[in-house]
Amino acid sequence: MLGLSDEPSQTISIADQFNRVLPYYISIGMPTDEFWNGDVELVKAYRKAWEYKQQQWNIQAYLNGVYTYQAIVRVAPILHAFAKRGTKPMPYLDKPLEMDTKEQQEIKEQNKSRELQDKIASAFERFNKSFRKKNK
Amino acid sequence: MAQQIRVSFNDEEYTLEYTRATAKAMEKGGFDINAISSQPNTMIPLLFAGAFLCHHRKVKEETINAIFNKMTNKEALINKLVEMYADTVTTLLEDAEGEQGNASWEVC
Repeated sequence: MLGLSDEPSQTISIADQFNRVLPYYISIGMPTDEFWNGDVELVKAYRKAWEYKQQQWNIQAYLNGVYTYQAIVRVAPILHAFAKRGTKPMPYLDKPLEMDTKEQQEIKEQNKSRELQDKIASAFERFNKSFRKKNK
Repeated sequence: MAQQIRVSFNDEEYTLEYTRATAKAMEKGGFDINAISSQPNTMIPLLFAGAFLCHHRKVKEETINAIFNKMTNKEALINKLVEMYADTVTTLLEDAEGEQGNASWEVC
């Protein structure tokens, strides 16, 4: 991607290698002064930061899609060609969707496992009851 | 954080480091990392002097040579300088962080 791996380094001068990748680093927001005179390791941080930015944009695009979908679903009743007279669209979401954070996911998982434990316990109880009845 | 070497000489502290700008300037001045083993007498002084360009641009050549002559464990020093110089390029290569390589290698 950065144009360094496809050709043997002996044939390209180090200056050419730098000049070749410089536009990429400018495009991801690295100032040229930092590229030339800054800590040589900084480029790694810029690449990682760019990766995070792309993930954030992806989430943003996904959320936009979710809101658009929600909006369409809510007006769908009146878009129907044979909708009854007086059909009204459902109101738009009254508050933003809650972000599914890691903690929320953990709570969901815990609730699921608790439900499962309860189901197993009640099944055992039922089995014990029927067993006792039969043995009376 | 980029690798640096600190040198004390005549009550002065020197920080040796390479940036891409100094690596480029060194190349312009005739330094070629590929020729370091074939022309060590030319390339090693250039490699050492180039490490002063980042933080001590105004230090005279005689001082740099005097420092180099007084340096102990020169082989390890040169290896470290080569590694630091190479870092100006290798840091530009994509690295899959967290991924361990499965191809082993050794010096023969």
